Amino acid sequence: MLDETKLTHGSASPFLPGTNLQWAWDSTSLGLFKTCPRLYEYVMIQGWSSKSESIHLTFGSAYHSALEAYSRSRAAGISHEDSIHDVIANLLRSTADWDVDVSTKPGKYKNRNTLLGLVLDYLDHFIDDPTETYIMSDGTPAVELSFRFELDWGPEGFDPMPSLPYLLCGHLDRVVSFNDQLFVMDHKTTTTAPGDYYFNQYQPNNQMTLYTIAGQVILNAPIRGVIISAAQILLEKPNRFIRGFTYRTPDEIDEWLLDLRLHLNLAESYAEAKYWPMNDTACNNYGGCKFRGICSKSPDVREMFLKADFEKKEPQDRWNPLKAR
Amino acid sequence: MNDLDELMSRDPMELSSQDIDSIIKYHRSLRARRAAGEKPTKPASASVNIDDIRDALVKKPASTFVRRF
Repeated sequence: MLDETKLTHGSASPFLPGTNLQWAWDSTSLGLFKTCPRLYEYVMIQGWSSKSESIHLTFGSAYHSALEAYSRSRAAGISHEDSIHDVIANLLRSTADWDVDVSTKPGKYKNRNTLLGLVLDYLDHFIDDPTETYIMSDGTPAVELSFRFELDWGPEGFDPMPSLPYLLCGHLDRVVSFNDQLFVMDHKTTTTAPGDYYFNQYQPNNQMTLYTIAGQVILNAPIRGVIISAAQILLEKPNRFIRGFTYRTPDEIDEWLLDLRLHLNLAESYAEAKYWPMNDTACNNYGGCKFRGICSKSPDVREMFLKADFEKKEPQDRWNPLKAR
Repeated sequence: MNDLDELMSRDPMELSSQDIDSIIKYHRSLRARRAAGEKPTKPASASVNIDDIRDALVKKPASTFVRRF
């Protein structure tokens, strides 16, 4: 049974008022902090974002929304073909103002046409989906669930110490039953082949461990892990869809929570010192950090280069773990 | 501009149900053609006129060397 009190609606600031102390964390903000505190500062605290990043976010968001709409349509008893028709019509409307530069690599793979093709291919590929969407007590399908739950501890080293617990939040794409077991399913799009090398990146993995815990908390069930539903976008061949499993043992979850406590203690001390150190061993990960060009400049001119190469989002438009989808 | 480009460039609010079906049909057909090994065709705008390139070439001046010591 899904505990719907753990689901979230609306949004608030994830930071304590007047501080840079974040009390509501999701896998994105936590991943940024774990990767590099300076990266976290640029994105979460100062709100810098790049244009190419928005293509990936917009494409991913539209892909997720389309699959969610299809699941809801099917759960309402509408046929596969009629559901596809509605999903594609909605997708055409919601993406009408997209202005993607298809001469760039991200734009070539992630534009309106490739999105329509990918959604359609996915839905046709999984017309007889071996996984079944979990139906909640109100009869709605468990798709795009925005969750939040409290930890049994809060900020510990901040002066003055606030008396509130930390929150873990996020969004589960879908909860499914497969072979009589419940899993969280997470949709991913990729331009690389989703083979062993691709799926190995999810073990260990910050996001998937959090989603396993979240699934266990909000479903109050022994969720064993996450099914990663990977869609490979191809331009000359049909898109490919491969699913992989990533499991978490109770000991792995305990270890992750212990590490989380230490990471958040560290974040508290950086927030109090108002200084977020650079992890210069992470600058070249995954093809290079988007801020590598900034950090490679002298500290006194970085602000000038940030203003030239990035856009600073207003606080309400920045990444917010508490914002429900 | 092919039929799909024309449909995609229209105001989506003005697309009829048949138009949506045509877009779906196009993408399914594209998938089948790709599965059969058909290579995508380059758009006309991507074709190159060799005469244009030749006309654009300008003869570079001969290199000159300056003795510095």
